[in-house]
Amino acid sequence: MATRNDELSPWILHFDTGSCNGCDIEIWSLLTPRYDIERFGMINKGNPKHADILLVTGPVTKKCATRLKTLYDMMPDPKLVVACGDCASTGAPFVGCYNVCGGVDSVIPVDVYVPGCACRPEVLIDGVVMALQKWNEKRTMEEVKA
Amino acid sequence: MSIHANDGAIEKIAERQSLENVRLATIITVDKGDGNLELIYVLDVNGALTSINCEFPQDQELASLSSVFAGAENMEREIIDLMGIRFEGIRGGLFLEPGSSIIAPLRKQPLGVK
Amino acid sequence: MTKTTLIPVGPQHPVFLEPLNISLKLKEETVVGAEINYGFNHRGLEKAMAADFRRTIYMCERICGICSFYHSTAYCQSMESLFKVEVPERARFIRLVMMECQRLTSHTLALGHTAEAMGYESLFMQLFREREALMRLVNDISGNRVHYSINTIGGVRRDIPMEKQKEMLSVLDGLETRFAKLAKVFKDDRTIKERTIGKGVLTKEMAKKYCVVGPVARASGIPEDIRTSYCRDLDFQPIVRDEGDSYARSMVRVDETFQSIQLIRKALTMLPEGPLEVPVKGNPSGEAFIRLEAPRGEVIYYVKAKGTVDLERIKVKTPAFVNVAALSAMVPGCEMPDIPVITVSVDPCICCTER
Repeated sequence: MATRNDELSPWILHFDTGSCNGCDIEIWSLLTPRYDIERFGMINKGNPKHADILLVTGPVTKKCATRLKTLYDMMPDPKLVVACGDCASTGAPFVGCYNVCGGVDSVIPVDVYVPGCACRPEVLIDGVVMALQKWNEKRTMEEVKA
Repeated sequence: MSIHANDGAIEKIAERQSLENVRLATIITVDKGDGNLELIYVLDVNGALTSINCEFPQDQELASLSSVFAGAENMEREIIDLMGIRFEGIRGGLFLEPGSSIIAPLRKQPLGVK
Repeated sequence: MTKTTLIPVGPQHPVFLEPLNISLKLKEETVVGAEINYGFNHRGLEKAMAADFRRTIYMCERICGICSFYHSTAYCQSMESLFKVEVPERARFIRLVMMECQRLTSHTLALGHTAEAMGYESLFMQLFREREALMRLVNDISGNRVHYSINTIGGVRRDIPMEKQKEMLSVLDGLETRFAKLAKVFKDDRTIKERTIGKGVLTKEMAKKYCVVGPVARASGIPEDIRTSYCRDLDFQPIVRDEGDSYARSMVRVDETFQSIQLIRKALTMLPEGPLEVPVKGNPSGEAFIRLEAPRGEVIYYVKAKGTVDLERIKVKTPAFVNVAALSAMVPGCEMPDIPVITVSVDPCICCTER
């Protein structure tokens, strides 16, 4: 049985809200042999109800905003959001475009911001490991409350 | 049977298509700024690009090319969204989200929010 | 009389990298129709790109991260034709080499993605391991893994010096032998054959009707490749197959990876000496059509300028825009579990499609 002092393996969910695909292919590099984040216990899952960490890439387009909110709401607590890349963090070059709301934090709360255009896998690893620590903290806090 | 500004262009394309190896590359629209819009059909004829232009007032409805090329339908849907041109028998809603996106953003004067 | 069921696939789906929504109409297990819904990735780049022609070179790379160098090359070429300058030969060849490198990364991504959609996890991992060698190679040359950003109006900003060329050739030699093993798996493996042969057929007539381009067109028997005109001096012949199914589309990509390696080798031996860029002054005016063969097919840039910093109109035609639409002609008659493989075999690139 897992106690609250154990570190568990979070499952990740990836959603593209309008990115140029640059960060997405770096996320795929992250899942594959050279960078391989499975060594931190993370695997990519397609189902939001199984996911603990949401990796979002790209500025949020108007059509994606409602879908992103729904996905976020579907994920079980405690959950974490990692904004991957400059566009997801701030909206970067797309700020002011007519169909873009801005960064991910204009729609849902973000816990970790990963810089870079496109963000390099090394930085992404730092980002998700930071998210892993935050997730474990959140989990412990929730258990204390319960 | 109504008459459209681009009937001549479509006829020309259909005629060339029956004779030669023709592929519709893209459809380009340009806002001239004086109330007129320009439509450019870009064709690949035996490996070389040719264009067929036509100009028309911005509130006119146009005929669709989708009976000649099925691939033209999406291009026309894109134009409906981004340029606010109407095509007979084609509906928009390809790119823009009703309620939040602006209408015809590529016009010199966009038409406001849906 | 069986009922028709509607099944939505996407916008968030484990198989797709990007938000794409397909509403499938099913009768029992058989797909009878499909409606593709776009717009999740539409950022409005055509308007943003028209604001300042000097910044557009940054923006146009952000249309798509997989074929970013093609976009910036096409844009720079159209600007060069408006400014009426001739790019130095060395810059032209460096562009060609980098474009073929990007084609390699794109095709390995597409093939790996196809393997993953089939559930062939080990092949996916192996293809991506090889792809990583390519990514490190382009990173060494350009300083970036995804957006190379070495294009500028009038030429390129980075050279490929002699020692980099040697390194490049040795990396490509290694890749070729390892790809050959993986290509054999793609060609002969029973799992792959059963999942792809005869699935998602696009006949030549339908391909012409839907105006498809690139590997999708070449797999349906249309011998069309724009490289035949601009790689003339490199003795280029397009790869064409007639079947039009998912297998043919993957095979075209497999063969094109070897072809790209050959093209890079030839281009490097022919690399002329000389300057990298020519200076460009003033503001552009006039109209230009430029097209290039991107990994997914033809990219067309139409630029209309009026002598000021902002452009009158810039229109980008991307290959995925027509190829994804052809999906609705491929899927009827297929079974539900084949849909991801068929979709991925078209190599949909939604950020290109919607800009």
